[in-house]
Amino acid sequence: MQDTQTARRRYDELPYVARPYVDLHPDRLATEAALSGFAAPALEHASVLEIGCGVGVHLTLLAVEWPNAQFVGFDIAEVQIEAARDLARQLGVDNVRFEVMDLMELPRTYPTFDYILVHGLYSWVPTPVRDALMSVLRRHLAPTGVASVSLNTYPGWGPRRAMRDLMLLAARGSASPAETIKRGRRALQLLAQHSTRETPWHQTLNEHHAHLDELPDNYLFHDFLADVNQPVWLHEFIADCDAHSLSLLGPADVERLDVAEGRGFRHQCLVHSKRTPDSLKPRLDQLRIAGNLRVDGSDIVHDDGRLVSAGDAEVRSVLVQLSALRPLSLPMSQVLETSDSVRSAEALRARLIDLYRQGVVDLRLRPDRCVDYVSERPEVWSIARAFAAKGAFYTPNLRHEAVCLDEFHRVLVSLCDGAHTRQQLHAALAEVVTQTSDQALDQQLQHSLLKLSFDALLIA
Amino acid sequence: MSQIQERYDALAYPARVTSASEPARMAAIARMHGHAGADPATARVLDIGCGVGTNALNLAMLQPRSTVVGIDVSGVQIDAAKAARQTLGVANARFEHVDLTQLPSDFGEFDYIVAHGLYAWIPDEVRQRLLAVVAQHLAPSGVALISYNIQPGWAFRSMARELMLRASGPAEPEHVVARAREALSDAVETAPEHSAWRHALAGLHAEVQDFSDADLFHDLLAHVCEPVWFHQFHSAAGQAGLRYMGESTFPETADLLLGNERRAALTELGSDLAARQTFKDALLNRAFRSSLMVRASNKIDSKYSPIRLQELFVWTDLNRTDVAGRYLSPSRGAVTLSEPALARVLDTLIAARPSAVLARDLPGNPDAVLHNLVGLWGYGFVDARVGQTRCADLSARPVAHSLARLLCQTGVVPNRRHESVNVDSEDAALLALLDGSREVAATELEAVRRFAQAGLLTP
Repeated sequence: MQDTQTARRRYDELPYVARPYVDLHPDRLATEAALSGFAAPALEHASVLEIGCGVGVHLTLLAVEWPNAQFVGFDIAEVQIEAARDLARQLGVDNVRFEVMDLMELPRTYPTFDYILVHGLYSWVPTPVRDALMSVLRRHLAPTGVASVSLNTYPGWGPRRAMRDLMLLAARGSASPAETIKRGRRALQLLAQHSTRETPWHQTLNEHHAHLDELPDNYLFHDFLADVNQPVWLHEFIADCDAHSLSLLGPADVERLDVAEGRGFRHQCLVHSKRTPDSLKPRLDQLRIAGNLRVDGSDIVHDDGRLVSAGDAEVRSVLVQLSALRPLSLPMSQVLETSDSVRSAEALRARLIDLYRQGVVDLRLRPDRCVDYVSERPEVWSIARAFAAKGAFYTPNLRHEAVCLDEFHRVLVSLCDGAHTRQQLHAALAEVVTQTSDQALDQQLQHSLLKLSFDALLIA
Repeated sequence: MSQIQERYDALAYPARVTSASEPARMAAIARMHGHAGADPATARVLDIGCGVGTNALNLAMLQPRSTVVGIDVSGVQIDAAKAARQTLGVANARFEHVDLTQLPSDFGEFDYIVAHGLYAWIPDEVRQRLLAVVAQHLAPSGVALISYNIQPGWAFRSMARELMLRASGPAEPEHVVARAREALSDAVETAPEHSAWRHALAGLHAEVQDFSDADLFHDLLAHVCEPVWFHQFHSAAGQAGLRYMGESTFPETADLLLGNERRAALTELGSDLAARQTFKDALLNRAFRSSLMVRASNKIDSKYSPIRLQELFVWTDLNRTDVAGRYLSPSRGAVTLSEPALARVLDTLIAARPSAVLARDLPGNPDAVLHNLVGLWGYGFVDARVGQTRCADLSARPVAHSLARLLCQTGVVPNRRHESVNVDSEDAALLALLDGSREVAATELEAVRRFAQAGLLTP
């Protein structure tokens, strides 16, 4: 069994990758609650706990966004907590507190929280810790609170587990995390290359090889190759929740959907089982809708490459509207106004919620913080500039997403401070990019500024 | 009554022979590993989990001076085996209804032990017991065949199995199977297009179309169906005092089919035997292994020197075509051998059928012939055994193999080379008539010639 010492050492040697997770934003938890008929505490003054907060990026960014809410994060790895405190100091945030704490030793007197976030823990700890985690959720989630737990699930993890086992077999006896990662990656590459072609196994090996190749070493080490990585069938997780008087939010046939998609991971929202839906539509009228969509001829295409099938003209017109509005969201009430009856409005809402479940559109309660135009003196929000200046792998945007930037865009982001005019940006970039003509650079700058706006990085 | 016993009593496992479990074949592969197993003609053979006894009975009938014992946990199946033995009058076969975990320690020693289709389908503690029983009852130079399900071939399968089992719930076998088939069809439909998940489900769906309900019930939907990695099996067998010799068929053990690139990748991936074999499974996405094991005190040499082949009998199932050097394989379609020496070997073997030919009697330079034979065997174009086959050629009053006659209504019958042969209803009707009392009619000549070639006639 993995003990606290081992876990601490693994994270001290190689901290977990630091990025914000929009799926783990308390606003998402409140949205999920609203969709299931529950009211959730207003985020403006909420208390939020993150268990296993790592280097605190997720929580610190939330604290920046919600200055009047209170945030607490704990983790067993001291090195990570030190880094989290440093980050909060650097960004001048004073409504977040980080502490070194072992989940197993959390005092019963610890307070309760409106939102509890647990990312990358449930499937990555031994059974007794998993049990302790569920007990902590039960004890320290406020009566009207919402928790979110991420977990690895079958059937998606069926083949992944086999890949993980093979990578670990290849890395047996490695002296350092770096060697484990190197040997594991090499094994996956060889298997992807030489396994029998035109088999699902070959396909999945190659998909994962391509996918993992793009992910940083610390993800590979702490997730895919973690000492403990115990996926579950969702029905097993539901039974575990039941045993701790917690209930899942979301559609009732959630496992059937997971199986259909072959999913391997989910963020699952939980509330206390004793709660009953507050009223028919709490805060549903406050929902906003957005989508990373573009119109290409007669097609609607999601940024992830999926062709979106709208189903009918009404939905299609909403999606087209969303693609034109990027990066802004639209109040759901405004969308539904176009329907000519209450019944058809209900039906439209249901179809849009389906699209949200499929990841085509995003639903949220919080208003937009970004702008949809590029001004003469474009300004990227300060936090993103700070991340880009440090050369970080990801840059957080105003929707709490991690945006991947190349070197050119990192430079551009750090220059967009609201003081530089477009002409000055051009001049500054011309010194960095030497190989292009003035005209080509101009085009690229225009394109890139638009991209920054689409990526929700620009403020008024 | 155990759950396993209950399941097999409720629905018997289909009767079929496992070619690789024939001692003459196991002995041939053992010899290639420098291991002289006991003479198959007089060997003591134990078939663990023998079911309705088809495999054990056929082994006994092919080697009348050997002794074959079959044991099974299902009383219903053992009763069927005893009845078939009675009908056929097989004096050198014996069946006992005994649970593996209750096997008395004085049950005796065996030169060949077969544990086919068992390991994956029994709980963990019984698995260790199975390995211990094999080690305990194997003669010092004995050879055992153990088959088991392995990863990563079950990476997708286990997922599909789980959702089929969840859909079927506890019910009568026929309902379980029907609901499971339906669940699998649904899953194929709903899986995302072009995804590996959908391809895997669709592949499995196509595969189980050919499964009988009984196959599906006892295989994919079995109460326990736990795959292992090869290195896990290897270490469990080692703990029980067994050593891995190789796979039960020569092509799977000799690796000639792998090719140089894959062999190079394996050399980089696997530092020892267990790891190398595990990664080989990963390259080939194997779901099943059938391995030959010996007692740990034996030494294994996997160099496969051709000289070890010279005392083996070889035969082929390829057929000539009108083009020289071009052959048809029943399982693999057209095969072209550009090397005249190889073609000469095959032509000799085809002419000698249904008998096999002693390797050192083959025409040509002996070293070259033996060298070529290793290649032909490694690619699966010929098979080899210790001792001559006992098949008859076409005669005026042919006798069909009596076990084949008994089972001819099932569509799949064992032959005298211990292989399964498919027979259609017309063949089955004719086969049943061939008891040596009647002359072959001119219209039947063609079919009976086919029976002879297929090893279905008894001398």
